[in-house]
Amino acid sequence: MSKHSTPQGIRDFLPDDTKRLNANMILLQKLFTEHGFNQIKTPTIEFAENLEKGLGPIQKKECIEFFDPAGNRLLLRPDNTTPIARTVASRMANQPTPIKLCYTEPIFKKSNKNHSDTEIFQAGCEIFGYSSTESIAEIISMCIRSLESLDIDDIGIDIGHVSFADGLPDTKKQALLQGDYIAYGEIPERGSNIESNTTAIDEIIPILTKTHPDTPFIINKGLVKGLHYYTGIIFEVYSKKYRTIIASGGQYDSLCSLFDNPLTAVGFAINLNDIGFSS
Amino acid sequence: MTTELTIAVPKGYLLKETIEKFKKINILFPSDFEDSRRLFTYDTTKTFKLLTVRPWDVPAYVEQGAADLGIVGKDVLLEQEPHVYILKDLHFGGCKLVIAGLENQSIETLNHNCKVATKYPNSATKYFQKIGKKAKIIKLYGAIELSPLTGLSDVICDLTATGKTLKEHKLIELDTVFESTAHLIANPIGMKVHYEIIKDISSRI
Repeated sequence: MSKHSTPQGIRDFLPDDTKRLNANMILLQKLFTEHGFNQIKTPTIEFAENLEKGLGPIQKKECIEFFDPAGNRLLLRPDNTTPIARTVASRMANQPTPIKLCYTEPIFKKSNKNHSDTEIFQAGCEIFGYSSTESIAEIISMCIRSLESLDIDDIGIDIGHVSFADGLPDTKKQALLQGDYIAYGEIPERGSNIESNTTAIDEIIPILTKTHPDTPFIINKGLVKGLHYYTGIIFEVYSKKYRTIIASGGQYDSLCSLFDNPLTAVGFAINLNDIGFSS
Repeated sequence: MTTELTIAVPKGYLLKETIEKFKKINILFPSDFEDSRRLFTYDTTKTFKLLTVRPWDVPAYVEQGAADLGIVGKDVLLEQEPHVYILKDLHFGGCKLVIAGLENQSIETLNHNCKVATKYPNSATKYFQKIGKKAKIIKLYGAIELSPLTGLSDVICDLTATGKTLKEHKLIELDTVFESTAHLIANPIGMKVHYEIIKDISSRI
């Protein structure tokens, strides 16, 4: 056996793995296209100053960074949403809205001490310039259908909102983000019948329970995200079997304006690395 | 779907009190378990599975989802910084991480690039960053107290409960890095799957 290895967090996909990964991607591309989402490809490498607009301090630390010959800082994209928002805001601004886009592309993050994946294959959808709660429901619904088509049938969805963190001092927000509930002061409330005090959530849950009666939608007061760009509803999909967050998304209505073109937006991303593989 | 809830607890000095703590909230594990060589057991209702693992391995079990809940010293949490939810300070198993050295040493007189032997390289590095000194960390796996006596290091950064072992090796505490007690932690997905029951355990234990 030759011992030429790959860097920490980077894995080879041998033919069987590749077949499985590609089959999942093709299946999702077909599903997305059938529902009116057009495929887009953004570059793997971008200027750091552009992508960092959407990143919080934790994500910035996870980025893989290098320099071009002119000394500009470059990043391997750590996220698909920010590059797509940049592309839409700067190149597709004149198109009629809503603009429905989808992708199946990897993102890159530094591997942590537990050898987490550096290259994470993702599939996802985004709607730019949407105007109603139905579009948010459409995104969550697409996400559920996508997972169902990948034979993941034990999901639960936690729904949060950026307003849940309104008025909290910065230390408490950090505590929530880090899952330090001692510092936060309590275990955040979570349940399907708790008061959300949020019109958007109160509107969206009945729509979703009608179309997906078997999926548990649970309001989670502790669901906050390190990504800075979320502006409204945030959601997170977990699978009991895979013991991980397999998809997440939300509203990011101010991200495009960071690229000089205000457009509302909502989307989701599924992490494909572990799906269908016996890890 | 109901699945059993798995709890990882450390072998050693925290185990006895952990089992007592669960007994007080009516979760009963076999009383002879501590003395047996078995690595896991169930409570009388078969709802809870108890794994006994090395103290330093508890975060790995919980972070990776092999256990839903864990009981672990805060010292291990601060050292490893695992991606888990920290639910409660259980206020037992108290001890502290200290900088200790031979007599007539003090933090102020420590040289830059002094040598520090420790099982806690992350915590020791942070401590010396905080006080503005550069330290050379030497990672050891045990018998840390031997280090200054043999000239392996200038000082040590180690856990102490009573200070007895330090004294026996003619070491004195120069500063406290942090105090530690047993903490209840949860796997983020386990926390979603078993939210009600984990919240209940956390409020009563």
